Amino acid sequence: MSSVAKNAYTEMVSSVRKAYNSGKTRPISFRVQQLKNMETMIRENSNEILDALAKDLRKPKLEATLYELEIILNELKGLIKNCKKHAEPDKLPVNLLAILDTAYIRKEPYGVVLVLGAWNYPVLLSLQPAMGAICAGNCVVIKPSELASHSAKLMAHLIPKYLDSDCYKVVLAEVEGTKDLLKNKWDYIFCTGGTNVGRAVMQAAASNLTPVTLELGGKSPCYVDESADFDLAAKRILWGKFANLGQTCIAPDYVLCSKNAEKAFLNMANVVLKEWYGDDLKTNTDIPRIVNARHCKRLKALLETTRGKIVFGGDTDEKDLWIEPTIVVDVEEDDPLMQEEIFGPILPIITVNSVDEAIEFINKRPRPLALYSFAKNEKMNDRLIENTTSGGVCVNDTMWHMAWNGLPFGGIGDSGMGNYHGKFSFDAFSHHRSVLNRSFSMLSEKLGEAR
Amino acid sequence: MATSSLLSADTDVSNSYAKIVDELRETFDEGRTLPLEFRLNQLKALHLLVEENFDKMLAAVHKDMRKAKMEGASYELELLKIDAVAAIRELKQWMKREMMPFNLLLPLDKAYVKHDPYGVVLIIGAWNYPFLLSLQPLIGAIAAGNCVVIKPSEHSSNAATTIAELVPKYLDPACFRVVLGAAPETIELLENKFDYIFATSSTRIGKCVMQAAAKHLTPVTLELGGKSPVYIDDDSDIEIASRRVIWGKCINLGQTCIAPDYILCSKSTEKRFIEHVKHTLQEWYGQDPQKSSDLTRIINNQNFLRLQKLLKDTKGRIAIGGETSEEDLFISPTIVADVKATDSLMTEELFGPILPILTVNSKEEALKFIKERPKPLALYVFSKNQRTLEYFIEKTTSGAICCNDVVVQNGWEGLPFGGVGDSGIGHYHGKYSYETFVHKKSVVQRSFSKVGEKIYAARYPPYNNWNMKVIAGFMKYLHIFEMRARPVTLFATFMAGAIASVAVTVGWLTGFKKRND
Repeated sequence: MSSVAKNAYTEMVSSVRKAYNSGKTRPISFRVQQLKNMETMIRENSNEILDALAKDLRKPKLEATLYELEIILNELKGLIKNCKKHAEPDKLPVNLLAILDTAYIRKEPYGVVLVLGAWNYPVLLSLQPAMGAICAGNCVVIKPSELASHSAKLMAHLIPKYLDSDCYKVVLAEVEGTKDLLKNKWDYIFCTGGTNVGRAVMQAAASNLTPVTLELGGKSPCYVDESADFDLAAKRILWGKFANLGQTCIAPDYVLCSKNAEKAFLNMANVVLKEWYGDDLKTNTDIPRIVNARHCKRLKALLETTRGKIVFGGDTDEKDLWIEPTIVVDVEEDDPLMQEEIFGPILPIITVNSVDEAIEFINKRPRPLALYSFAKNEKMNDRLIENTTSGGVCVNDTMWHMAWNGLPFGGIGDSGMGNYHGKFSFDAFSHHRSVLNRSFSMLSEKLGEAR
Repeated sequence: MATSSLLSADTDVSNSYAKIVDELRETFDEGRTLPLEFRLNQLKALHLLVEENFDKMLAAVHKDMRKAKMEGASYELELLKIDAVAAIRELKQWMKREMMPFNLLLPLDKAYVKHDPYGVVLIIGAWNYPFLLSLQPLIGAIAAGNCVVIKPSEHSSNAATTIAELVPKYLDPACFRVVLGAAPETIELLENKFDYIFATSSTRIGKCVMQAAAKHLTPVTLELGGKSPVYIDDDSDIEIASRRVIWGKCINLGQTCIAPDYILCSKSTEKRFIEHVKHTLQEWYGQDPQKSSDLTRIINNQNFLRLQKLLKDTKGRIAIGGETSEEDLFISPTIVADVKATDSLMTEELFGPILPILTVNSKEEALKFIKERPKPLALYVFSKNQRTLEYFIEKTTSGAICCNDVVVQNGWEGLPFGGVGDSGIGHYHGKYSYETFVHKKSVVQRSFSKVGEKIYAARYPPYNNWNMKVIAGFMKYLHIFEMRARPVTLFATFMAGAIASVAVTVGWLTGFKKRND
């Protein structure tokens, strides 16, 4: 069809397309079986997966279990249970003037889907999109992030053992390989990555008019009002910030609050961090590591060049890929810490004197993936929700909007396009095709004759 | 009075566009387009625009392409009015937050989806239905609360200038602007950052638009085109099929994105089809179709020459029509039989009144032919046999599929309109238009209450197995505690209430009895 110059992956994509065209992935029973196989794959290899995550990021067992394995298993359960329901066409209400006609909307797979994973939740961010694509009846090629190499290699090893190897493939590739992969014609591309990666993927997709879902990132602001409960606010913000050592797309990136609120926040923060980690954070096994030397260097440089005041943490050790959970105050908007998504355990606090100032600050910047607001005063929270936009919002907690099954998860502007999770995953990977089935009856012909 | 937004191509175009986008963004940031009242007023004004300038608009498209009054009215202006009225009626409902069901494990949480407009939207119109394809997306964009730049197609220049003249008179110029220009100006316009781009155009231009959008990570809806195949089964009512197909081909002189492009059928069906079409064309347009005032003209010389060349180069047999007149930009409704897959007529979307017929000897052959080609915007299948229809519905994909008719799926209430693959990305019409132009923002509002905190606090370090199990259990069973109005839940709640009431009553009566003994 469209002429694509031959590259390293041309044959593989061609073979997957052949598998798709055979119609193998269309029956619901096939899709459900594949999802069940994926579930078995996770259950039978959970230790190996935890091990790989530990090697890639020194991810603690609890984090790897809850924020990767458990989410994967719960999503799988939901898709297995609801696959048939999701795939059912949407019927339209009967129209008396068109009583002899049937109109409905069919959910059809796109065909061959490419899933580009990310390294921070390497298993989750490859498999959660992939399972949605599988559920919708597509064939899928997964390209996990090479930066989480143990997880990537493990998926490349396991997937062919459990899933149909004609229809679902894992490709290991670095930057050049990924560029080649993108030169091929895909029917859908799902990418989790940074904003620059998102741009490059959409550019490549444009040459084949391939629709995309891009789960990107950015700086997710966290407004803390003086009316907040600082005990809970500190706990919830620091939990969101330091899980995965800050390497979460929806981690609270920076805090906006008044000096009074900052004082109360810091008082609680000191107590909480001591309670959680004790005195020696570096040897604490509950804390992961930075994914690689490049990112560690990047974060270290931020700490060295910030003009703010480090009030907690600040310790680094490049050999150990260690950046200590750190809080920095008196940060100005032109500080190095405010130039790009931190994606690390450094929490800058910027002073604002009202919620309106916070709104102005936020609106000057690219639209974030998540927006957080802490206030007992509901009016403050409502003001923020009404006067800003973001992928999602969570009030009085961080990351919690992920817990609600039934809410779409995705960004806007620089933080992404499209959404997924649950039914939204199924819909992301389905083409909604209008079907109109008219009759040949003379009655409908008479009715339509006016044309 | 709004500053004129009629720009000539050689002024400092790029700066002007940047200025327009900045101004609209400023207006958007002020929140002017957000209130329901504002959106309704603008939609009502748009409806009035069409109503009060009906004849003027019909005259403009007549000047552009000699579009018959009936077509301009039925297939553009009336559709616009219907869509505007529906949006006005439904908007309050559409704008409502989608609340998530109450969850017993998160009793104080409130979760919902809010619809945020994107901001500054760009709508690129097309020339074949110039009013419809600029203003119908506009209805959705306004309903969704955006500011909009409309760039109508320069090829339908009278319609474009009419839009540029009328929009500032009826709609708030601080929020809605029209930009005129050709390809170079459109490229300049696309250098700016828009928050959403909606374009109706060819596949080739669609790619350019998406490339430009990618630089700013702007989401897009692209309504493109391609060759929409028609399969006519031997087991069809050929008379009705031929009338419907030729109607779809003749409206707008074939310049419709969902026009039936070519036919696949057996030789015997082809023969009967051609016979019927001969009679039908005679009935509709008389001996000399060029004299009929019901037939539109080709939009411009460039497209005329393109079509004329395709006709000249065809190796098929012209069974009906084939007359062309460059002076009049007219091509008569033409059927070409014995067309092969390699024919000139099969190299591109025709977008004109030429209908090639290719021979297939089975539905399997037709299916193979269709699947070897780019995914079409529309697929048409004619058959009395429901199983044959299902065969094509199941085994193909396309923007839409219409059985036993053509084109009418567009404008069918409740059906989304859009393409797939080379024929497009995204869809619209009715509520789908509104949804195209809003961002679904998930919101969870929690509280600082200590209720449930024992569970929620299990996520904090120091990590231990017990806490892990608590959170895992919470995540696993959360959905069970969703209070949806399921019959089981309702029954259980009712029974619980009934039992409680009985228990309380019995308890009270016993107590009463005891007290009175």
